[in-house]
Amino acid sequence: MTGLSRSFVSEEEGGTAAPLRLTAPPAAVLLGKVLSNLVLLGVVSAFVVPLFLALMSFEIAGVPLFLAVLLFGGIGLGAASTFVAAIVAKTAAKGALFAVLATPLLLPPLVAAVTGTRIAATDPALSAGADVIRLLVAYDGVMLTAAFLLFDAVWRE
Amino acid sequence: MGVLSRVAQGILALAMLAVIWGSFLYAKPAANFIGESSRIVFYHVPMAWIASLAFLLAAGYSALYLKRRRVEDDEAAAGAARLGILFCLLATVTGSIFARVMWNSYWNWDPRETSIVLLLLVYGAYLGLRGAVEDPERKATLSAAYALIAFVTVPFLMFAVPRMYASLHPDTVINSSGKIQMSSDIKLVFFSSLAVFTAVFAWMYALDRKVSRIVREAALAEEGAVAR
Amino acid sequence: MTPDAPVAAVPSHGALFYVAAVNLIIWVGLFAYLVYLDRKVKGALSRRTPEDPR
Repeated sequence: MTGLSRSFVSEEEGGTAAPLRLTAPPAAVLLGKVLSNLVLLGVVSAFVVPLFLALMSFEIAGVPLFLAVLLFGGIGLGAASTFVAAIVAKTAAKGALFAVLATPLLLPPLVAAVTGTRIAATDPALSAGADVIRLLVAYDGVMLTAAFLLFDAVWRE
Repeated sequence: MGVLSRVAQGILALAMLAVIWGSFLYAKPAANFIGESSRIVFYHVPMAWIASLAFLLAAGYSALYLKRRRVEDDEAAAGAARLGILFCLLATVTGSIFARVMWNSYWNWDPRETSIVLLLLVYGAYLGLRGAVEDPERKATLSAAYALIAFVTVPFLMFAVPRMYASLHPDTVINSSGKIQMSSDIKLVFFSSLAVFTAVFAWMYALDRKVSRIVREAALAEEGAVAR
Repeated sequence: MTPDAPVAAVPSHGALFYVAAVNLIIWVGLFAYLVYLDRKVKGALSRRTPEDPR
């Protein structure tokens, strides 16, 4: 089960980090970057998740909860890694620094997502994972707000 | 050094001695803790509290830097982060010793232990970012932005995620019932210890900022000498 | 006023050694930071006056 979300992350981190380093031209806007990363993330998940479920013959009892975890977890991961990538793009050592800076920020939503997935695997009720969803939504809100407030300073640097 | 600050330091030293004496000889060991291990609270909790205070200061000065663009604010933020890491490390080590006594294991990846490691990683990453950028202004801006984005995730790290898992950690001082469950002798020593260690932190922080200023002025003078 | 919590029934000196160790570690940590600051300032000042090493 931990392996499940681990594989998402490696896809997500690899998927978001690489194009972000290229999208450094000053015309781009944070919103566009976040959205494009989320789309990318969604596409990757759309392929990887069914594949993974099929290969591991992993049954999801609570599909709505699982999808909600994927959605809100994805938004949080996307927002945080986009912002970190914006910072990292301004430094000399990009790749290594990205992992160092992003990992501690991404772990709270990751842990929550793992918990949510674990609940969804056995419990069909959406309400069973209410705590997890609440946590993820709070993280998304805080992260997006902070990213938009701070992006200006990073961008103009 | 002014007479006043000498006097203040003397008082601080005496108060510290009183707290250490009180922590060992005045306060009685609390129930529900093995042997004398509850005495660790007089040292462990102030460390954690000061670490939070330092990280709060780091975030505050980072925000100020982004607003005012003053070098002093950047230095203050970096110094607070450094001291925060120091006290966070001390909280980790002292907590680990407590874990050895109470649960017979120095490290068990309890949710609390995990989240404090992540906290150390966050601010270690902050210092890593500072080390990776050459240009001082860019360094200040980027690290201020990271400090703030990291700071908003700290509540998730420290409160939300540990709450989702069962932790062996005793209730934190700010607990759900809103009451401090300590006997009066422990309470007295505990709050004295909190105050005295906070004063020590304030002193160290002032020293740190002074040193940062001296180093910056020395670097400026060196540049001036090279230019001439 | 909160009533006093019951005191441990058997006065034991177990773990006192660990509390002392905690104390010691904190002081070593704080002192190490002061040493770090000292070295930092001395390093900066010695670079400023390379022709006059003190």
